[in-house]
Amino acid sequence: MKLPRLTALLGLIGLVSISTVSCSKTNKQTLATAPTSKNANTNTITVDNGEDAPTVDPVLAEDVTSARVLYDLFEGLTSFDQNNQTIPGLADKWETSPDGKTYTFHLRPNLKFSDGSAITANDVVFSWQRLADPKVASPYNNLALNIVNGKDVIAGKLPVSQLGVTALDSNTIQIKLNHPDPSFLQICAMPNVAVVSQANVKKFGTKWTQITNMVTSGAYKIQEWVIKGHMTLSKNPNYYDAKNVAIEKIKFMPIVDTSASFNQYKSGDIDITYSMPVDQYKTIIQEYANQAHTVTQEALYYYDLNMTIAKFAQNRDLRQALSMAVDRNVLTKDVLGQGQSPLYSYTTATIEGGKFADTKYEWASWPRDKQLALAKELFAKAGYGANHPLELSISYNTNDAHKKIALAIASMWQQAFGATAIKVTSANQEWKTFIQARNQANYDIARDGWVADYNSVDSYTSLFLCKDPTNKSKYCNPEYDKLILQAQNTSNPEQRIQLIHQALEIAQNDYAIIPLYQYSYYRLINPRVKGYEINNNHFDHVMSKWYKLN
Amino acid sequence: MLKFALKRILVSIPTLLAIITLVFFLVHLTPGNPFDGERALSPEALKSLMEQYRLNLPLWQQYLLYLNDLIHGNFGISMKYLGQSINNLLFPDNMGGFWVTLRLSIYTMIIAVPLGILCGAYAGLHKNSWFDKLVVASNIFFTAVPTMVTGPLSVLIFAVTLHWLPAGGWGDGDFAHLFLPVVVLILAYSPTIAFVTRGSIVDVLNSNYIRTARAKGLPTKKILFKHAIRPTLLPVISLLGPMFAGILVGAVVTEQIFTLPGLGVLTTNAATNRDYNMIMAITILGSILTIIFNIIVDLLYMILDPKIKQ
Repeated sequence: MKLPRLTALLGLIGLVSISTVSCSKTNKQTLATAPTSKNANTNTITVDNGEDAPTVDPVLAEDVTSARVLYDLFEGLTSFDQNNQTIPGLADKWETSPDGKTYTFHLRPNLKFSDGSAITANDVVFSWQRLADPKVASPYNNLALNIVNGKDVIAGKLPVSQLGVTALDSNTIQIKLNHPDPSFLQICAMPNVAVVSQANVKKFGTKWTQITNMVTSGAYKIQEWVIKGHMTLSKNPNYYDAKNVAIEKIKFMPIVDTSASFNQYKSGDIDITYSMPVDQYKTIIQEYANQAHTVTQEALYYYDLNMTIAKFAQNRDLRQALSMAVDRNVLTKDVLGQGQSPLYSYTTATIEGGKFADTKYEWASWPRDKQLALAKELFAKAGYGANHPLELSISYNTNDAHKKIALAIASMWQQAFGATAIKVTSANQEWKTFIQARNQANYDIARDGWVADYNSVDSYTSLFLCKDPTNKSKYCNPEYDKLILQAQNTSNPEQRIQLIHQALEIAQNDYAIIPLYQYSYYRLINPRVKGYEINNNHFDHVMSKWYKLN
Repeated sequence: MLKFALKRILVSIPTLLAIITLVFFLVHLTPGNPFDGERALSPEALKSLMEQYRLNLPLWQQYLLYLNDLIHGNFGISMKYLGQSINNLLFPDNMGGFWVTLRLSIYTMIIAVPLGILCGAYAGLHKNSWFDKLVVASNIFFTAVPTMVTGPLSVLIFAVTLHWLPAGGWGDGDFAHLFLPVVVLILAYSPTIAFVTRGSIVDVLNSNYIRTARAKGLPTKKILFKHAIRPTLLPVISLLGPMFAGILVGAVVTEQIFTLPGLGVLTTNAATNRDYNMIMAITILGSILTIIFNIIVDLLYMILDPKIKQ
């Protein structure tokens, strides 16, 4: 039989070539040299944006992909520096009233849109009104909730003209808030409230974002956009700081597959990746130590315990036992091992410069044996054991990492409480089906995650408010809501922090979610790109105007 | 023949309508909403979007309005790419969407079809030769090693290691950017064409009428080109129609590996994002293409086999 031999030979050649190519890289101990960029002789940087931006309309954007592009195309009253600190944007100065509820912004002189028309206070007012307008249906209209009349405008009960944002003159804008908000200047830098041209939007209606019509206020403007292909931005010569914008063209690529992105990085086709293939993470960070970056992200990964079902609603001991039995160190170091940090709190240790780093569970620092002993005791107290086993289902959207985590946690519970005392099934669902089931509280335990938009603990505390749409466990403790409301209404910063601490302590002791880890994000940056200080950029707000070339 | 074609087109209209109806209701009844996301929309914003996309109306009304739009050549507005019309996403002015996939498919078929038929014919004529075995083995090999493997492997060799070609992206649709994706698709389809041609020619050459022709002393050339070629091509042609339509709407993996802005990526995106209008548009486009290619195949059948005409 010669034929099978030939087939086998061909197969063998294929396998050998695959393994040769892949192993030749992994066995190398030396650092990989930086790829020669295909843009080497041009003033262009090619950036993988992970996906195609679903929209370039600031108020309609709700994802990081659109935000990344919008930070280049538009600017708000304020902006962010590379350490996520607020800096002047289109407004170069502002005053705050003593009660912290009124902000008066002054625009820089002679500001212009990309078409050369003047940027005025009316454009700023219009941009805020668009955000709150229920007809526009912005997913981020919650940013206007704290503006005077914001809630009623969003609900369609008042016209947009009643929103507490007014133009005092062509260069001055006054914004009135319901209660003081220490993060309001950060909100003003968010892409959703970036300034758009009133004349342009009114002229073209919903078609104003088409590249032939679009007028921008940021450092760049759109030159070309092939959907799912590439989006090329070119420098906006009318931008107020154009002389300091070093890169003429930015080309965004929508590479969904991280391996394809890595290959294009190695071949020099792209200069900055969006992420890395996580299955090759350890190899890449060794080989590309001078180009690969792992950055702690302001984001939580946690499990919601469904508080609408009797099993959890009436059994705090069980909720605590399940949370304590998870070994977060094993989860982050052995199961994942991609730079994530264990999470023992409902917020992160990094938010607001570490002001809430001390909110960890007391048992977080206990030895593992002691944690397990108490978890077992609580589990038994909750009424479960070999004679009355607990049956649970973990729901997650179909994804290898989520599956790995669910399986690891199920096995941790079985080890802690005994294989006969707990039966865990995992149920993966396609994304939209999962989201709907989770929103309708149709689950036992559901995977959840939250990325903070800006440097305020409010990004996390809202997740546990009684009627908040982001509260997926349907947890409700009026005492918690009351303390958070008090914290929002105080203009005393220390009192605010103290009240939030108290509130978090209450919520954490109710154990409605199981915090698991704080995310990290990964990026490869070709050394030809300078000026991008990624390591302190926990919010991943990135602007191309920072980039420089060698 | 014209009458036959017209008849087939007329018959295909109810088929298409049935597909549209079935997919419309299936898509709308699938759990999940296009506007469900990690961050739930405010009730007013959701209401406004539902009204904009007519999702607040009863399903039968939505269906009738959709058919009305369709008659006017309007596929509606995308629910993922807010504000963008589906017509513009599928058939953009600047190379993208359908045009990318069309170019990819045409280049692939122009090379894969003659290559496959020639190799298959040569293998069939030289049964059990080393070339014949290579054709059979390569069909088995490339069926077992899909584009998911050949794609990244070719990128690793030709783009990352040798730096001869770009690792991905569309560029401006230039030769260099298209080369690897086209080669990968040729590798995926050509061996199958060769295999089917080989099988067909072997069967035909063993048939009684060819044996009779040989017995009558006809020269081999005449036997092949007059008597064997038509029946040999019949199964190959029936394979090519669906294959071409398949590449047009189904080159998802190749497009993903090479970051090409074609239809495949739009399809997977539409399904995961419940972009109802996009799913409908791609299904309709795929159905129309399949119907057209099947009609072409039937017409070719008639040319090749006069028996079918009767």
